[in-house]
Amino acid sequence: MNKWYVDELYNAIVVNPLNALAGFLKQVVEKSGIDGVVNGVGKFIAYGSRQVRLIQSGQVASYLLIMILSLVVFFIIWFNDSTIIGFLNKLF
Amino acid sequence: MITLLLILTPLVTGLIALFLKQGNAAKNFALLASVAIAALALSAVFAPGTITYDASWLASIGSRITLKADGMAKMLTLLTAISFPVIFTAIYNNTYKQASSFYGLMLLSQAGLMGVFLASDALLFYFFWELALIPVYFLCSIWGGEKRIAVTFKFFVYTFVGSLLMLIGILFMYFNTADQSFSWQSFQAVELSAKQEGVLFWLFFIAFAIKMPIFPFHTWQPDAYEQSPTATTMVMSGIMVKMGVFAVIRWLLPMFPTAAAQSANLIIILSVIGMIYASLIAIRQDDIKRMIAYSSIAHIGLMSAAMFTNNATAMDGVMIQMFSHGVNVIGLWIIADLIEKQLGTTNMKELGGLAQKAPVMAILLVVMALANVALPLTNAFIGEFLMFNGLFQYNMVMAGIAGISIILAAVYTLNMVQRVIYGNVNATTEKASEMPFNIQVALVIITLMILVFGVYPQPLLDLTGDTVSAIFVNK
Repeated sequence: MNKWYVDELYNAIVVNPLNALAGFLKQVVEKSGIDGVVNGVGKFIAYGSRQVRLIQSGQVASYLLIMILSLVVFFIIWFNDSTIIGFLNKLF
Repeated sequence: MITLLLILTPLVTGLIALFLKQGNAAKNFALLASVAIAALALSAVFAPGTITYDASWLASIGSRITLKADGMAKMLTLLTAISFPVIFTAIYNNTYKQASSFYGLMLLSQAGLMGVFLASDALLFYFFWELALIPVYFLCSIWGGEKRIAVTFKFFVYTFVGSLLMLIGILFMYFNTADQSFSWQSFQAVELSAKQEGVLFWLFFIAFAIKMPIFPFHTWQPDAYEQSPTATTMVMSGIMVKMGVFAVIRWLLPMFPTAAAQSANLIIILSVIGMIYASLIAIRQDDIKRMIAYSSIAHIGLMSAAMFTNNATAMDGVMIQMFSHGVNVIGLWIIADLIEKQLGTTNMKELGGLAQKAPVMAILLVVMALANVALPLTNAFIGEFLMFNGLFQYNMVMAGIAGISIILAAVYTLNMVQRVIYGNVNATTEKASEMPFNIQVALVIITLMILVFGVYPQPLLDLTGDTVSAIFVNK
């Protein structure tokens, strides 16, 4: 009697959709989604470090420019330290 | 004193093992040491009440060597202490290059784990939390599989990010303690604003969530379990993941009860999603090791959900399940390791017919598998039943959805059994033979624990009862 097609019915309603969902979760959500984000953070940092490395060009002129800019930043912090600390305290 | 010995013995014997010239000597020495440690842990379990130890450490900043063995700590140190001799017995015939370093590092990781479970001083806790990680890092990156370097790097950075968040939290708490100390009591007594408590809760919780791991912080785990030497995987999945569960119960819930209650819904939903999600992915795994890894994520998800239901029954279940899951998963790994060593693969597509070649192994695999499904008469049933009971009282719909994971667990576990031991013997499984004596010994110990605690879990409940009632007495 073909088992009244009970197995076929279960396969169609439960087993196959569940398998398809599981396959989607495994291949797409897990691999590209969640693990993709985790690995993406690592790749982004590696990429960022490579870009920052370019600053060390060996050209004295560009080092001089960076030095001047750093001095400007230094003095901005120097004269506004209480404002910055106050802002940080407000955040937390 | 016995609590201090539980940490010092693996530490000292581990250091000695590192410097032994002969690998064989180190192997036997480590096995003997682990048996001695198990005896120590057993005597601690039978000692009445909470055992404490207190000594001065870093006086200038107010950190002390304070150890506290209450019921939960005794149970987890016992799990740690029993696991190591079982693991060492199971891998007795395996050969490792530089075996003395391997066994030395294994014992050092045991020292770290013991410290985590016993420390009652936040700085000491953090110290051991990292100490447990470092030997595992070397174990995986030296003795692991092909992709070990990339996988171990990811595992280390991932868990370390969590640890540093926790360190920031610890420092913040320290500067707000009344008496400038790191002690558990002072940390618990810190007065915090609702906003501070909310932020600190997540700083700590993310560290613990990565360690457990719960969805979506779990992606380091399947890779790490697959690539690590199986003995280390047993330590990681059997004991190390319990560090996260333990830390939530010991530190997080007492320190931030309000924030925990507020975040409970979110965490329970995440945990339940993780249970279904990991179970579904486990169904589609072809590799035994990856299947066990995802199955483990699903089981931990239930523990994580149960912890936040604020229900004593569920907490009893978490206690039992921490022990049971540790025992059961080590059993599964022992069989996975045996199959890999004999046949060179853990890919289920290539396996089949092992029941004909190795009937004893087949029977024991079925026992481990049924325990993994949490069938009645196995230890896991008790814990899962209590946890579902608590979850049901918290929210019926959640319990219902989480319950689907039991069915899914049966699907992936029994499917694995079917693909590995039934069917016809093929070219790969032709060379399989019955398991050697040492593995039989290890698995018989595990089977006994599965059955004894499955029928009579009361000793475990009695042991951890004081911890559970201490959590709920203040509420």
